Amino acid sequence: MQSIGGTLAAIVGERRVLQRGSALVAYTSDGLPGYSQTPSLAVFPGTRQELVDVVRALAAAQMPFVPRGAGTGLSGGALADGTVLVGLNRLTRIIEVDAVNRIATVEPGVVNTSLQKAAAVHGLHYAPDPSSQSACTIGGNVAENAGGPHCLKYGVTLNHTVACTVILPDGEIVTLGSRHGETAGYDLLGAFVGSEGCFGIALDCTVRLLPDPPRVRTLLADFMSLHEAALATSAIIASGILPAALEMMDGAAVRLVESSLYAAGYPADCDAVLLVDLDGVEDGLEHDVSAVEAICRAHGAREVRIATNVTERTMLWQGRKKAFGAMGRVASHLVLQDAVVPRTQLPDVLQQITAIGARHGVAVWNIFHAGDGNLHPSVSYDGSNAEEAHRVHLCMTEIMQACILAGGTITGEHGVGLDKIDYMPSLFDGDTLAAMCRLRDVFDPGHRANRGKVVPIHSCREWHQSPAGRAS
Amino acid sequence: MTIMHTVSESSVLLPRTDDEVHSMLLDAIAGHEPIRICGADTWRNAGAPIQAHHTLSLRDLSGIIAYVPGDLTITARAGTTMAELRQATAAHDQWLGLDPAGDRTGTIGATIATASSGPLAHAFGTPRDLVLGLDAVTGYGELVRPGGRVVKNVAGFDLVRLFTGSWGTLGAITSVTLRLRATPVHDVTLAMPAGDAHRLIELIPVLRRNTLSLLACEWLDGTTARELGISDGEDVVLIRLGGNDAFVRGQRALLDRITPSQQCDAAIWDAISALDSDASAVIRMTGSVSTLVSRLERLRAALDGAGASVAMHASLARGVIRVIVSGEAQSLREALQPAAHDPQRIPERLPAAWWAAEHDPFSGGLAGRIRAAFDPGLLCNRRSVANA
Repeated sequence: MQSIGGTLAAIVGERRVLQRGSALVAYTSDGLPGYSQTPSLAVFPGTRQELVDVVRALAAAQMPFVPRGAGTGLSGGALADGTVLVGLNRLTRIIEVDAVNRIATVEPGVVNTSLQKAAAVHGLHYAPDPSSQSACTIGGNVAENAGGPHCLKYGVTLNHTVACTVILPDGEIVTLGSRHGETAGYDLLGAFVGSEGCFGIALDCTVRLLPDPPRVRTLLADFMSLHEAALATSAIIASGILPAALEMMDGAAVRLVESSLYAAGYPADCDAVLLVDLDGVEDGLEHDVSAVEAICRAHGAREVRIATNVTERTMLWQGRKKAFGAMGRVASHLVLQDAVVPRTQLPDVLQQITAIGARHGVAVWNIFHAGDGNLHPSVSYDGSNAEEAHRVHLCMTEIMQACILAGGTITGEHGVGLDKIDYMPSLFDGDTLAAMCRLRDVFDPGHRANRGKVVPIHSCREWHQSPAGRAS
Repeated sequence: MTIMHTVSESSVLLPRTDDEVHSMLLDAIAGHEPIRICGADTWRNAGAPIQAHHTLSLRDLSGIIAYVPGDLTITARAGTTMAELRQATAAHDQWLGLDPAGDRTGTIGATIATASSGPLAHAFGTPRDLVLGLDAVTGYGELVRPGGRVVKNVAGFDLVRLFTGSWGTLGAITSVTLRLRATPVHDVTLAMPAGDAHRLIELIPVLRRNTLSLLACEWLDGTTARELGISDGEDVVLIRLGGNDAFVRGQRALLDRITPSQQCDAAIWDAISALDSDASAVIRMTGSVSTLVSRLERLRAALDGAGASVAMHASLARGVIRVIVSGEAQSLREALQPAAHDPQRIPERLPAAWWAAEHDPFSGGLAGRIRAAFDPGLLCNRRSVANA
């Protein structure tokens, strides 16, 4: 009998199946370096038909598998522990850009910025803009329900995905959603988006495109107090003005960026900066710019700089966009969390994060989507130092618990993956987790797609008997 | 006793708490008794006929659980009416960007369960875009609490989207958390002559330009527009603008350069929502924006002279046409059947006899497996036709 490697090689060619340890090293981690798992082999289909054949071959062999886009995810979601990794990065065809109906259909391996470039020709853009957009793929964005700075106004991937053709783990091909919008029946597309590779693999994704805003105004406000910057954020949101993006960096993060090759001219002596994009039609936009500036000043902003041209705007954003790159240069390991709290809770939670970091002797950087309340507390550390790694772990656990206690959640855009799976029982009760398990069972009764991710397996095992049965 | 749609009051269960809903559904599951789940029942003739022993009405499970204006989020029990939500949020200059069909005594639970939206979907999207979390009792007997009260959340598999638009076939939604918006300083409604099909084809891309930012942009047939007092019988495009003074002034000037328009009372939007109050058939037909005008023309030709009273409105940005038939609908049945040029046809209500020929979107394939996973006894809002 042919091995699974031989079967897959017969589909995609010998060169597209990696089986040796040295060849697999690149696929042992994703964008979060704290986790490392080695797949048994990695297969890279180059066409839709090859992908279909690969999934069906895996189904026939009852082999577990993990789909992977560009591997830029930040939750350990695309790691395969001794199972088959299905790489989708060769499926890079933009099938259609329909400028009249403002939709595009792409293969899952199309890089986010490639789609942006294709849409830009028509004065359109794809709204979700994760920080990794120059590398991450639309298939990965759909699997993770990715966000980005400009999702504050425009929404996350879920809000922009209108249809997917999906191959289920058993090889069945289904169409979820419709390129024409509304469908009757269950929102199966909504269930698929953000399912982290546990429900199958998208063969193609149809996404909504938006017209480029005719005007964008970018402001940078600096504060001598992180707390005041947080209060300003809450006040902007409460005012009803909806910025396209509202980002915050604390003083430590500002100084890190300013000391790197990504220096953007932020004031290095501040305790926090707010970076605000306001966009839309020309009419009335200046009113909102003035209102945001006034709110920042009322909350102690020392200076509010307003970009006057594209070059200045790009420069102001550079510091924010490159901050995680600057962080990566500090130490061998980086932990980057992804919690969300109600916007009114931001000032209190940021104070708690500072106190928790101090208690554990850990320097926590805060660079995040303040307008959504989507925090990204981050720490660079030496992973080879067990004592330091333990302190960082304790610190991050306490921060996540503080966010949950504040009425928040454990992930706003990175997904649960491996990294946050232990927090799931803190957020959801047993019945809710069991219901999630049953939803997965519908798509993947054999639990072969990305097993061991998102929902703790014990949540499924412990709830064999229905509540109705337990009651009786 | 098996009933269809109409029930005597004695068979109506009226829970006031989540626990009561849970207990009533567990009883139904234990007794293998089909149950009809509804909100305030203001849309009684919507959806397929239901086979049930009891009706579980959520109308008394009402009230706002949490409202934090600074977060622009609100959590309300399922039976809270749209009017109550409007009143509570207006006190803080906020609103829910949802204007579903029906009058405002309809409930938020039913709005979410049926994924109903209206012209404001142009700017704010449909319920799937606005619901942040919900609590529900499933037909499996669980009380589940997916989602949350924050505006961004990807924790776990998305049961929130699954329940939104499930028409009560997976269980009963008991509360929902929703994203709110600030009420615009100025809220202006304009009626613009739509002209003939040729003119409408020219007008649609102009109204979708990035220099315009509209809350709603809805085409309305001339007869209905005349009955609503906003036209002499010509088709109109109703436009809703919301924003600060400079925004509204600038946008009005831009629109006037396209075609001079008349300002109308904002109450016209409630009147459009109520168009279906005595309808015998209501069908949404979705398709590409680029085919909207040709689909409208084909529908008009098919419906013309059939003797029934028909109102039509359509979203110029979303490509959705809503056809509302009042009185005897039989003569229009053929014209309202699925056609190749209508990629999606979603019946909201139909004469009872028509449902037998309708596909049940909650059965078969993945949908059927979902249903079986969450309501294994097929007890919740069981269709009397397809699933009998």
